[in-house]
Amino acid sequence: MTMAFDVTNDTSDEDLLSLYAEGDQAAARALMLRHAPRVLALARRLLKDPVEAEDVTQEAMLRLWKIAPDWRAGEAKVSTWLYRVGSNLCTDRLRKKRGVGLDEAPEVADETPNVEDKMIAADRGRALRQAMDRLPARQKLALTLRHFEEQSNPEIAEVLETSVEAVESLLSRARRALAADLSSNRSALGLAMD
Amino acid sequence: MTDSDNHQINLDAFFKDAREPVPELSEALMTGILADAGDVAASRQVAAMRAPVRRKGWLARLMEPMGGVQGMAAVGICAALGVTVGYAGTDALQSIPGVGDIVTSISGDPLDDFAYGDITSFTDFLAEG
Repeated sequence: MTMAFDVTNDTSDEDLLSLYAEGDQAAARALMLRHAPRVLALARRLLKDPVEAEDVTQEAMLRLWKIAPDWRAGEAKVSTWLYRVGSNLCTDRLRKKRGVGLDEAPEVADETPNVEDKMIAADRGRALRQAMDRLPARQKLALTLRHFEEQSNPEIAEVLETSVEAVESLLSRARRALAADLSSNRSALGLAMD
Repeated sequence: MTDSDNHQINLDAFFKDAREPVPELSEALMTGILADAGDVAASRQVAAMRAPVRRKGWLARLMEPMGGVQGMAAVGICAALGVTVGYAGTDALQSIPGVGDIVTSISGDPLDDFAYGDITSFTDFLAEG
């Protein structure tokens, strides 16, 4: 049976996976449209390489297709599972190529109204990304999931396969380190730090 | 975020500025992902079709030349019936409707072929030695 799906319909991820496992390609398309952009966004932030980020996204989705028939309903959310697979794939790639320069970070797409605001926002965004790159990998991942992917602490705990308390501690340490790093660069950045 | 966490820097503003819209998937990426989905589904179907027939156990293979489980069951029933009939007395045999007539038609006196002196049943035969 093939049904017409779109990203906004009410079919749950688990039902879509089940339909895909039965051979429904439309379900696969719906899952892709629903989740792949988020995995791509995470991979771009972690890897700072759009091409590699696409590879990671495709690989994460491939793993989802493979696990579909064995998916155990209620054990994990598809989105959380994909974040976990995606972040693990990114970590593997980062381990393989340590020492990649920060200048390879993609430009921020900013939508602020005037040129001055745009420049300040771009500078602050760049400064934050650079400061985040100096954080330990898990702190960076936790911050990325919390502030850019808008995941809750329990969801982040699932992705990182740790406790909620550990996530809270990780985020707190990451924020402190980030604030200290940005403070130390305040003059170099020439920014009003609010 | 609390002020103490932010150490006098408004991190929220930084995160806001660093936030990017969710990227759109390129055509190439979508094509690749869906091609993978198709390949995985196809290979799953092929694997299901090629699933090997489950090998029979040693007992099943041993019984196969003798008619399998059904054949062995028939042999077992016949053996049990034979032993039962063997142990039963001739009187008992004659009491079975139809069997007595057959025995009579074959031997005239149904006990001719069985009776040796006082031996009238297999049990007597065993007792006599």
